[in-house]
Amino acid sequence: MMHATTSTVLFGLNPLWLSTVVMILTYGVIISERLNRSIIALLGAMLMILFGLLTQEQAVAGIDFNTIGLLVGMMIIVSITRKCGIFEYLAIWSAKLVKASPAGILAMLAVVTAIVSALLDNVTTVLLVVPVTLIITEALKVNPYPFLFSQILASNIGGTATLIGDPPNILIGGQVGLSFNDFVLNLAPVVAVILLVHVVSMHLIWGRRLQASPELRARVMQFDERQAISDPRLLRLATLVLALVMGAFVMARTLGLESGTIGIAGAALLLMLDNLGKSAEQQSEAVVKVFNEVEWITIFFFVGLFVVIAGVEHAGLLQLLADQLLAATGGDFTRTGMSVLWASAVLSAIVDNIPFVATMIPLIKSMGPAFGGADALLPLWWCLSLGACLGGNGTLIGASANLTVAGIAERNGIPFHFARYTMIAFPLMLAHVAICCIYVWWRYF
Amino acid sequence: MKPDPDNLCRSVMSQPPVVLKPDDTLRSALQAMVEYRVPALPVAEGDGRYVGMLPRSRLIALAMPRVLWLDDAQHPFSRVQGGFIQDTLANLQERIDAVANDPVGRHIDPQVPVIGPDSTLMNAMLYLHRQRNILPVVEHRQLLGIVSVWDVLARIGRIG
Repeated sequence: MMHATTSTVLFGLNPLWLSTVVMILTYGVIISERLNRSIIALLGAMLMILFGLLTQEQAVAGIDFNTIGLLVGMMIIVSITRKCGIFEYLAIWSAKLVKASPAGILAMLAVVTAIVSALLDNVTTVLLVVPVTLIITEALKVNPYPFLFSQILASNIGGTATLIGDPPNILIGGQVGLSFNDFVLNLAPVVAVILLVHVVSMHLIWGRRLQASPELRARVMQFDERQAISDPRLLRLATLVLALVMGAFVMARTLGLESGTIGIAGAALLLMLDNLGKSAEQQSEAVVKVFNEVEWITIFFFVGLFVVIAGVEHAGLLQLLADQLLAATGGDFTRTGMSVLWASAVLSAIVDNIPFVATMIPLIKSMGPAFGGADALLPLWWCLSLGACLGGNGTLIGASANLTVAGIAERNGIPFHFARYTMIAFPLMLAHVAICCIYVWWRYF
Repeated sequence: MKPDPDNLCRSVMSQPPVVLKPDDTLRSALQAMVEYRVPALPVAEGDGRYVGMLPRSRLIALAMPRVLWLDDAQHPFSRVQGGFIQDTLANLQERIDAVANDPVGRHIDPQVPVIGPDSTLMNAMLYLHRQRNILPVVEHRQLLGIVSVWDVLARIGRIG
């Protein structure tokens, strides 16, 4: 069904074609990485309005506040929380728990990364865990590569488990209206299995051969994790707010709260607690610092992308694509689910998964009538999430956490090559998606 | 109007106690720096061609785990606080020993600003105020001398 266009399209051109050209151009430049992705997304969005494909009001209505609010809110909460040193504490504590044996640390840090990543976004997680890892591996005189490799995969695996763990989930949750609990109940079981498989495979590939002398291990055992807690007062406040936010997520349905509201409310509360008792000048300094750490590139990228997608959706392109996809799978629900899972995994390994997921959401939504209503679509959302989040592990450019780790590694003199990474990571990713395939088939189809 | 020569860097410039060569070892640079208690030493080729500056902060950094001092403009918070590290003197010495035979040229700071002999004293003041202790004076790629905080303070305070 074609929506009625309220604005006039430039030169009376066909809105379907014009919007498709704008979207392809936008995505093409995003993939080519010739221009910062936030700039190109905003330009694409503005073209949709300038060409008369959307009015400003329609464009703004396309911007999903749950996604933006949750992203900004969590970024603010994390930028305040990370200063208290709790994540360094966790990493050191877990390394000492296994008596600083390299193989044990390889496993422990993967688990810690996965758990932290389920609660924070993946890039933040690796930014917190990788530097501590480098200090530990330097002290143990072991090759840091296996640890960093394992943490990349663990961060993407852990992030898959929750609504807030990975941007594709934030997108899906926000746009489809799935709750925090929906994600945990449907995805956490299979994520736990995949994490276990990941830890075992890391041990078989590298862990069992890692050695460190007792003297070097003693050096790590001397690390004093309590010294990592730089601000105990902040730690108490941040823990309180994080607990409240998590509680609100779990109770969201009962409380009638949406995720964007919870994210922003948590951020405002933590900002307030952190700034109580400070002078006006100190407050503005502290607040500016925190706001500067919000990743505005990501936020503006999302804003632009939402408008571009609203443009093609409005013109009827997504409905057309959905019909094509349905025809290709013969309207078979299981086949559609499996196609979504595998296609999103392989595509997410090669290109940025955000534009892909953002396009797939309205596309899958429009399949609702064919499969008997919005509720019947649930399994497809899990397929999309699992594929898009885990697929990112396949290559070094598959997810932003991968590139972040590679960047830190290179600057520390640890070579991180695309081919070397992909040769091991891609097969592992396929194995993880195969596990998901069995899981969704068994549970939903 | 011709500027008063008193207001130019040429008039306050001094000669550094040592000029390092790019292939001098880091250990010899460290020795010179401790001996003369200078915040940085200029590095130049044998023919006087300026190469860069070696600051003492670089030597302090090299004795610590690399992630503690690496700059990461894109991710300002990827740095660990490092309060938990319990490195001993031996650990610090070990790290310096590992780089002691590196050529100085590998560790120069490319960010240090350079001034010409005819730039104004005020220009040097602005750099020194921005936490630079010592500025190389370079003309036609030749190292002519340095302007240090001591040179400038002595002149302003009418000392010596």
